[in-house]
Order: sequence, then structure tokens, then C-alpha cells
Amino acid sequence: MLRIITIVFALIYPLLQAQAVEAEVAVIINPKANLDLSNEDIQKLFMAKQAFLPNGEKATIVSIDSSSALFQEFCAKVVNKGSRQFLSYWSRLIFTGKAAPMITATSNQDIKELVAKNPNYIGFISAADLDDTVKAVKTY
Amino acid sequence: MRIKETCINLGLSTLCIVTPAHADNDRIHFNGFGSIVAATTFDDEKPYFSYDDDLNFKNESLFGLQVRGDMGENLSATAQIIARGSEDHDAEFDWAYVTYAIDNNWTIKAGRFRTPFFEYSDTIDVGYTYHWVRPPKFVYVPLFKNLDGLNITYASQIRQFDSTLNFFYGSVQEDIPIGQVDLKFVYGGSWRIGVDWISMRFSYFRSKLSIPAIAPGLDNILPPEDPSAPAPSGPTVSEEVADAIRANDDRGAFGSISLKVEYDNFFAVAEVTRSEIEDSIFPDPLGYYASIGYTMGKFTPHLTYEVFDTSPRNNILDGVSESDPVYSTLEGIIEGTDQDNTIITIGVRYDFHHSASLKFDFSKINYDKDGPNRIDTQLFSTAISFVF
Repeated sequence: MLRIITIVFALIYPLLQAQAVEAEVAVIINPKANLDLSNEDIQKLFMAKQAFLPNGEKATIVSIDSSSALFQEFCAKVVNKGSRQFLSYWSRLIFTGKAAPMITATSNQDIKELVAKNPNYIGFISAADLDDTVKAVKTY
Repeated sequence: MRIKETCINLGLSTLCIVTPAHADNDRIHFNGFGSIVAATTFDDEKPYFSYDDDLNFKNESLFGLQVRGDMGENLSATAQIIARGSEDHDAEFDWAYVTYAIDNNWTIKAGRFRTPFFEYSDTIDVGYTYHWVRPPKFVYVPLFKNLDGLNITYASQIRQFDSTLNFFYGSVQEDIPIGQVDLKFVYGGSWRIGVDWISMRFSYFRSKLSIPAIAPGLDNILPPEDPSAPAPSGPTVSEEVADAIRANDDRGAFGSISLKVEYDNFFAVAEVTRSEIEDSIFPDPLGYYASIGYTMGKFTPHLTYEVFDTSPRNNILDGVSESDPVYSTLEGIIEGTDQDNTIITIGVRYDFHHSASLKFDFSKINYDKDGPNRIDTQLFSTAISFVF
């Protein structure tokens, strides 16, 4: 029995690993913004508990289509919420006028281009898509 | 230097607009929400509010649109336009205000916005943000919903707790079906404190207000307010007693406490509210509810118990002699303001789509005290709530 479990695990393990690597989420900012953001800063920005970046600029958040796998990963790892909870939380923010809605992009490429053009934007992409047009502040 | 930066920003955003892939504009935002609500009591002998044995799709259905424009330099303008089924879908501006975000702590809002009495006041029209078809009716019974004025918010961190303090000042002039609600002023505030999974909210308001006579039959025994108007045919109370009955330029107060817990898939919310209008027949209702639910995948079953309990102002009778022909009528009217009602609701929310949900609620309504339109009944409600 134990042997079977070991074999099954040995077979599955690389798959699990591969998935984990593939799904790494990188929080990105504009390289010119030159900011250090702590985990707490990042959480607060994406939860709109903080509207301004540490350099005093008003932050604009870029997100990805909520039906994507990246969005699910982001919710679980960065804001520690289920994606429905996070969406419901944002609906409350938007319809109480407490925060400007997040900008929704359709691809990692779009998010990178938006962040690369705007020094006050903050977003997230799959870590695999990182390049030097943007700066990764944290990888999850 | 700052000006230069702004110019560069402007240049870049212009670029964004011309590149089709980046048509996303971060300055003007449109968001919408809506609910299609259908309900019935399945019994024409036992109506409840505007529901009877017909399945009614119109009463509580609504469609809303919110526009927010960011003008830069931390200034933004927000307007919410709602078309309600109960008002024949005539679209109206519910909110219109400007917001100035000073920094991470301070925000100032001026214009017309929702009166923040309750936990769900701000999103009461956005069904997607809560689990019921409608928030508990015995607590959410305000005579008015929006106020014109000023709101200052101070958000901060107290140790590991998030704290949000709100201060308000404003006035209200609103026409409701039974007459005109007029608040010369209302001021007060709310304080929310909590961490991610638990939060408490307190609110307290004071005001000077005039509201129409809320008890049925009162008009028949009150002397006319305007001396030139014809008096009722029957006997009336004295001016002095009329003054003790009318909520006319009287002081009012409102207080509420709520508690909300969201732990993993479990959640619970409870709210207690009390309102008072001094020197009036208003029976100072105490309303409260507790609701619990558990999310299993796309399904959220929930259970709610709510109470509405009034304290009739029998002391008004002290000003009328028992031999006065109006005594028994007035006694009856005051007795009629005595209410002790409960509702039990079980329901389920089904999140069939990431921005829409389907809800079913079943409510059992129980009136402990007799009175006009008080018949124990059951209400079946269903709703599709969505945001976009």
C-alpha cells in the first residue's frame, strides 16, 4: 500500500511542482516609480485601505479579468480571500464611492503595458511573463 | 517640477487613448448594478406590503448606474442613477457628490449621499453585496435614504485594527408616499473598528425634523395646522395635545450597533437600532436582527431572525380628560402604534456567475399585537442580483 502511494506521489509530484511554478504571481509597478512596498502595503493598496503610494502619488490598480486563473491565484495568495469574496468586497467599495474601480485588463501583456506607461499604476501578472519594462515588487 | 510631471502624465494618458489595446481610461468609470425581484404570499387574504397571491416582479426590482469621474489632484465626482420598479422605472439621481481624498487618512465628501444609518445602508440597492433578497425589513425602515451635506472620513490603524470614523452634517427634504419628510439638520457619525474577520460598527445621529402623521386616523382628530383650512367634522384634540402628537420641528435621535463576523466560509451579522422623536406620537421603535450563513461552493444557505418592537406614547393621553369625546379615539390610535413583530427568514444564495447571483428567501411574518394591516403571513421571494 505504502509503495503504491509512494509511486503515485512520485508521479504526481512533478506535476504539482510544475503547476506551482507556473502560477507564481508577481506584483508589478512602473520601474520609474522606484518604490519599496511591504506585503502589508501591497495588501492595503489592493484592498483600497490605502489610496496613495508611499511617494504620495494616488495609486491606480490594474487587475485581470476575474474569470482567469491568475485572478484566482492572486486572491488566494496576495489578499488571502476567495475570488468571490474579493469581488464582493470591491463591489461594496465601488458602489459606496469609497474607491475608484480597478482597471481590468484582459491579458498579462496588457497589464504590463499599462504599468509600464503609468508611474502610479500597480498590478499583478504571472511571474513567467516578467520582463524589464516593469518592476516586480514581490513574487508570491 | 510637479507641473512637468503632470504634463508628462497627460501626454501618456493621451497616448493610452489612441492605442486601441489600451482604451481603458482611468478617469471615467461606469459601473452598474441591478436586481430583478419577484415575490408572493400565495394568499390574497394575507397580503404583505405590496405583495399578495400574484407573483409581482416590479415592486423591488431596480436598475442602477454609477458614474465616477476622476479629475486628478485627488478630486473625483460620483453620481448614482437608479430606476426603481416601484417608481415606474423613472430614473432618478440618488447620489451626486464630489470627493476630495486628502491623504490615506482623510477624505471629504460633499453633495447628496446615502444616510449611513445601517451596516448595509450604502449598498442597500446593490443586492449582489449581501446574501438576502432584501436586508431585514424591520431594521431597514428609514423614512428617508439620502441626505444633502458634508461627510468627513478619518481612516486609521489602531494597533492591528482598522478604524474608520465618519462625521456628517446635512439636511433632508424628501417626498414619501404619506407626505413630506423635512429634516432641518441632521448630524452625527459612525465608527467602524475591526480586523479582517470581525468588525463592529456604531452610529449615532441627532436631528430636528418634521414628518407626516404616521398613525392611521390621526388626521381625523388633529386640528388643522393651517388655521384657514377646514377642521375635521368630528371632535379634535386641543392645540397643546396636537403639538405633543405631531412630529413637527421636534428633536430626533437614532443609534445603532452592529457586529459582523466572517470566518472562513461562515458568517454572522447582527444589528440593533433604536430611533426616537421627542414630543411626538412616534413610538420609538427598537429593531434588531441576527443572521448566520455558511458558504459551500456556489451555495450560501442562511437563517435570519428579526424583531420590531415599539413603545407607544400613552403619556399623550394625560393631556386629555377621559370625558372628552376624542379620548377613546386617541386611545385607540395610540394603542395601534403598539407593535411587536418578528420575521424568520431562511434562504439560499446561489452564485451561478462571477458577477451575478440567484437568491431564494422564505419568510414567516408574525404580528404579536393586533393592528391595521397586521396579518400573519408567509412571503416567498426570489431575486437575480448582478453587477457590471
